[in-house]
Amino acid sequence: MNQSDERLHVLQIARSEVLAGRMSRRAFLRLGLALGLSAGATALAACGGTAPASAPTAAPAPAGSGPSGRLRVASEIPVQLDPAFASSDAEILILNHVYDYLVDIDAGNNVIPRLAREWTISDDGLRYRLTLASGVTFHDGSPLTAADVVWTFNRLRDASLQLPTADLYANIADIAADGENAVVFTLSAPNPFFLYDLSDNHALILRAGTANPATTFNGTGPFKVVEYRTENRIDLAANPAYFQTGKPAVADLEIIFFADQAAAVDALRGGQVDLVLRMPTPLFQTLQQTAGIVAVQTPTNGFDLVRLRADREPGNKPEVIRALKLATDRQAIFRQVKAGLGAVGRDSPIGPLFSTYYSEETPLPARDPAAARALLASAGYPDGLKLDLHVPDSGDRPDLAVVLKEQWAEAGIDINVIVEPESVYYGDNGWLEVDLGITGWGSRPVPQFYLDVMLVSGAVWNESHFSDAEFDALAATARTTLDEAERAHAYREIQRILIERGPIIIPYFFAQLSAHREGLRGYVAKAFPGRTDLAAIAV
Amino acid sequence: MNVQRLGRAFFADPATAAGTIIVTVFLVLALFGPLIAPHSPTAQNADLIRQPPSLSHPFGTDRLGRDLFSRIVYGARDILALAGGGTVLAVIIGAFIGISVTYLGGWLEETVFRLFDGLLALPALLLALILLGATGPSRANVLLVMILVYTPIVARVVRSVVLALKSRGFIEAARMRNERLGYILWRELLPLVAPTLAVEAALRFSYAIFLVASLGFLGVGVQPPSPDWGLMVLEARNEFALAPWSLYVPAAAIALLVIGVNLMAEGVRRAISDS
Amino acid sequence: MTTSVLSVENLSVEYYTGRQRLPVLREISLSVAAGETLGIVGESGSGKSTLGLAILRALPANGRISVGRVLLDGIDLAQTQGATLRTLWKRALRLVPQNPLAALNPTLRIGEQLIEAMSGKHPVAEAQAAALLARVQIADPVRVMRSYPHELSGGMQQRVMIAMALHGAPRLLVLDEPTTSLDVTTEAAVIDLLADLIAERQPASLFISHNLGLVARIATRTAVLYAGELVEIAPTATLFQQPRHPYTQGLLRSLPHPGLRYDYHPLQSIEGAIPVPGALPDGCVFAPRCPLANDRCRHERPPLLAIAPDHATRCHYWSHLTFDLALPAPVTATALPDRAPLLTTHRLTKTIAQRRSLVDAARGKAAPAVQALAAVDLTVHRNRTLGVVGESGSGKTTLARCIIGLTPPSGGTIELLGIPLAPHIQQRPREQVRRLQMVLQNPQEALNPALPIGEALIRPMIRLGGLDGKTAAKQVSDLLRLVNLPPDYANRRPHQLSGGEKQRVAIARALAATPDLLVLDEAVSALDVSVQAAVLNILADIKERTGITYLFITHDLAVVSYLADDVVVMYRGEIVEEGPVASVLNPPLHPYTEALLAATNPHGVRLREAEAMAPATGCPFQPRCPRALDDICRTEKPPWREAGNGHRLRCHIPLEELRAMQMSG
Ligand code: SF4
Ligand code: SF4
Repeated sequence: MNQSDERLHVLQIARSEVLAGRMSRRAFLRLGLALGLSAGATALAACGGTAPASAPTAAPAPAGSGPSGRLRVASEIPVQLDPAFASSDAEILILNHVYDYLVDIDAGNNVIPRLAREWTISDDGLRYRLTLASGVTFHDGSPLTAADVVWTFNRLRDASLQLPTADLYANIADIAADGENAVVFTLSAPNPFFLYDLSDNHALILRAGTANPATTFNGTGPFKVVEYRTENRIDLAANPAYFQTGKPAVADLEIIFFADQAAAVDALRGGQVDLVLRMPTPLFQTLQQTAGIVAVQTPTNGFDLVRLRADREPGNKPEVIRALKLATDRQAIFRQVKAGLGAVGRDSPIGPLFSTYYSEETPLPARDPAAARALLASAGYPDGLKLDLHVPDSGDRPDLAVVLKEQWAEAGIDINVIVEPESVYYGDNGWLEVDLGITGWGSRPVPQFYLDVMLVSGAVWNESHFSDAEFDALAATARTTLDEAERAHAYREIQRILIERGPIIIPYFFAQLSAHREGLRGYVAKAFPGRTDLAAIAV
Repeated sequence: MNVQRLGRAFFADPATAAGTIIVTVFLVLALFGPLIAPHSPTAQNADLIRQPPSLSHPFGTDRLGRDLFSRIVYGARDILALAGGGTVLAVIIGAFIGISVTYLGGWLEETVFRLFDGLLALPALLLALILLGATGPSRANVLLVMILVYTPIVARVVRSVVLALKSRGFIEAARMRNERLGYILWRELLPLVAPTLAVEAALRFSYAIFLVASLGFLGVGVQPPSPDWGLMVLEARNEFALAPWSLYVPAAAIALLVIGVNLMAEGVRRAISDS
Repeated sequence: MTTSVLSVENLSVEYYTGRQRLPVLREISLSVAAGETLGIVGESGSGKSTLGLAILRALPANGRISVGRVLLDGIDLAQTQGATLRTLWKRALRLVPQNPLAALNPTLRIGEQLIEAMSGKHPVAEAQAAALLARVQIADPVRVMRSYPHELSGGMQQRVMIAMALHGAPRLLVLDEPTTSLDVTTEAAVIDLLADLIAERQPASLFISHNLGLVARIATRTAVLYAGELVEIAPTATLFQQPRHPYTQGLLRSLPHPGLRYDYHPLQSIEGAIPVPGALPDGCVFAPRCPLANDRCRHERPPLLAIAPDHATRCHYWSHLTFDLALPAPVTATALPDRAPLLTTHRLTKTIAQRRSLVDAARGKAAPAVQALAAVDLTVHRNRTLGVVGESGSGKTTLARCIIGLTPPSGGTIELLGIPLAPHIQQRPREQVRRLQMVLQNPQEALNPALPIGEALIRPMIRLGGLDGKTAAKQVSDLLRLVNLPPDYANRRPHQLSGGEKQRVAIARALAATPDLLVLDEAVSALDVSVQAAVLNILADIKERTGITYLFITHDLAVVSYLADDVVVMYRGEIVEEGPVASVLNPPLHPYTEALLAATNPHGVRLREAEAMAPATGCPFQPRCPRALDDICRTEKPPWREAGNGHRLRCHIPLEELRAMQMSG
């Protein structure tokens, strides 16, 4: 990789971080500037995104005599509505119902059909042929053809338009229509995750030649836009010609904008909205106790990472790392900080949702502050350790820091908590520099991402500066092998290494928290709420 | 000045007496905190999360299972020490600069007070946010910021008094005996500035309490897990529906202390202007 | 007896402070007929201003008439409210206050305010206003009507106030110290004008003043107020010649009458201080200070006794009182000593730049400068008192401050015993600083309220006398005794002292450094006459004992003629006449000195008010000089003329002619 490719790679990862909500836009812009890119280029890149985290199989749409009733969904305020630039939950939530993707991804991380009903992949992995559903029409009545798909993807990868997806699709050598109903993507190098890339948040199919994608709203999706009032709401009506039978279930869809999640929750309680897709833990707990409200939590692969730099004192002493792990009570943290929502972590990013890879083979040592104290003494810290803990002010991270401080104090580790605004924490790469820090990581469909970006030697965001030859080799195997069993074995070994000596503690995995009023049917929560399928919901 | 008469004037007013009682209660909490608080302010109990007020936890517990009463008691120490320390230092430095620079006059006075005016052009809270943004949040920096924010205010108030005194006959008399600068500044001027300073200090103190609490609330002041009242309000904000007491308790503590100090400040002002 | 327009019956007024009720006026009864002027005299704290306000129903919010009636043409003002009162204020009741600038609206032109006051709405009102201004002897009414208050001199402002007070047909005119803020020559003219107008318009008038001489000139009858009580009332001439109250007598004896000299006639002062309302003595209010007081006086309050048809006094022993004033001393001009002078100034000059407006600064106009001192040559002889007299703007205070070193001169030199002095006091060696000390005008500001008297006296001894703290402390009681204060005053704080006591401490403080020259800048002007007398006596006494030299700066010729050996008369930064007091003042030769002296004489010459700037080349006094010669006074500096015995003056008129004028006049 030459230098500028490397930069682009970092940016590519970074923009998905922005999307996952882990990195503020401002911090991202700073990162871009630090890498020597123009501010404009960075700003555009910031709008890119990746595939949805998980998508459980959609519940069967209720059979009936056609769409009826009205569904009101609370959302944050969208900034703009051109699919190519969509970045927030709110924007994607709207667009996902006006337009369609070629493929979707379900809860088991499987690629499932949407506009593309079936596909074939050549043996060399370079040629993808997708067949489109028949009889699909745009809201203006014109039929969907392969040419529309070609136009859409050419737009998304057109380097001259400087769209954020250009990098993602740079590997595509050619897109061609194969008759009216099929499209062929030819890659310049094999990409086992290409179908996931096709389901990128931006890859919504537009009609060929659409002049103003931000305002035209001419999709094939389950709903047509009736009225869009910026900063206020968007009203949609069922698309009677929608190609998936039984969808949408409701006749009217109102997406109402709230600047504040607490206000959205209040609206739900007051009956002004039917569904809130995202909220902080305490509000969720409140709703759990509210009659007439169904609170829904969905596990995700996102987690908070407590990490100590392993390349210098005191993290370069294995005893210190073991001591920290021994001093930590993950169960208590999970209860206190996350109120038992989500899952307890085992110091590895390969969480329980990755069912085939996740392993509890290596036992997590029980909490033992005395042993931790002894370890510290043997490492040359008989009087314990004094450390600054840097933590961004978002989410429950300050609480995590406070609980850790209390737990570690018993082992003689004296933590000074420094809460910083997110932009400061991520700004100027400070988070990669500090010794002890807490970083949030968003949910990914595949575990390899975390290893490659966060833990292998020299990885761009190897914030713990972990460098372990055995780990690196195992990660490389998992990345390249075509043998699922071998990959699973490598991941098991990786989990063992991280429990034994990884300079990281992952105390829990997040849950995605949402709630709706009783009487709503067909709602399936998603790790990334923007990709919720509202068309399946009946009232 | 007759101390007894001052005292009588001070307590004659029921509002002042109420303020004094409130502040005294908080002072006692601050001074004897460890003796009064039943628990450590940071001790967590995962089994007693968000307990409503009860006999064993008179103010209830918070989301991490910490005893709110103990946190309020220790928080009193924190806020009084910070606000009080900041006020005292700002008043001392402000008085020093205000008296000496104003008496000396000339370009020095011009420069210093232009600078101060510039600082004062920004609201105190904004200035504090900017400074803390630059220095990073810590107890020492909060103290420093309070000094920077309040010193110009105190100096300016002092200046207005000194300006009026500067041309008085007794100052000219001092010049006519080649009086030492130190004597003029601290023996002649300071006692005359003192009443104004006392009123200003009392007023500043109430603002300082509010500033410390505000900075805590904005997350740039004292860092967790310190039982800072402002921070407690911030942390309890999303808890309101689940554990309303965790918001009410620190908010009421702030309000009560600010009201108490304000009533006292008003009493100081009246007592001094009356005598 | 004519029927009175105003008759005050048994009037008492109280002020409320906090929970206290303070009686400020007690049982005042008096009456004034149309066209009559009743003088109200009293020292500060006597309640004389409150009386004026109470009669006009203009008391401050915390003041209240508790008992009594104020009948104006039979209507009781004390019972009048609302619209009736407002109508009365508009039609019948008028006030000329002490400070005209505070009473005029600074944002309105004089003409508008005048027309408003006359409630005129048509163009005729303008003509009437102009006529009114002309009536108060304003030379250019049209210009004045277009002016804003601050653009007028103090005398002009007061004339405008008088014009406002006298339009229409006022029934009652209250003049509250109307000339106190004016220079003597202006004061004289304003008093003449008032007397004239009262005779013409016939209001019943109250002339409130602390100045006995002034009251004597304008009032037909005079009432003396003391501690809120009317202690004596009589036709003015009777009151001044046969006062029948010890207080009245004390006041008159305190005055430095013409012809009295410090070395022959110690003034008689009234010891003690006026009681404060709320702490009035049981018996006679004057008993604590009365030399005749006995037990009866202390327990039995004397009634206001009518002792003659027009004369009443509040004293048990009025019939025992006798009164005669000391005889003038023989006029002897003491010869000047030959010894080298103590202090000299040579061509001492001070130019003070005025502020210029932003517009002028932008136009590049030079800031206007005022010549506060124009090449002043002054000689101060040892063990003598040099009086410096002049009106405001004469430069006398600037001269004092330059000598002390508080204000650096713009040019010229000051020599002390032949040694040049540095311009700034900080640059002068300690010994020189010690030798020159000054007492400032305002006793209220002279002492630091935070420090005890003792410390104020110790510091100069330490700083200038080179004494250590202990030795200095021992001398404090000596210093206090020098100014007739008991030694225990060392522990008091300034707020426990009266104005006169404060000024005595200020004098003691200045003397603590044992100076050779003590500059007294209007040092007795702010004091009541009885207190002033005590301070003058002390000054005379100290000079006698220590051989100190005084530079006595004042506007008051009576004080100068009493206390000074030599006198310098200044006008607009220049010395116009100097010499031994006896020969400068008896008779006055220079036209300006003459005018100053004439100001206290009901029939003396009167000066025009200073309008135009003095000519750049000629005599500075020319614009106002009643004797100015046609051309030469405007174009040429008058020469110094020697009158012998060190007496000299600057005037174009030859000495013989000036002498002849005095003989004939
Ligand atoms: S009554 Fe007595 S005390 Fe009062 S003035 Fe007359 S003599 Fe003096
Ligand atoms: S010189 Fe002329 S103007 Fe000056 S005082 Fe003599 S007569 Fe008057």
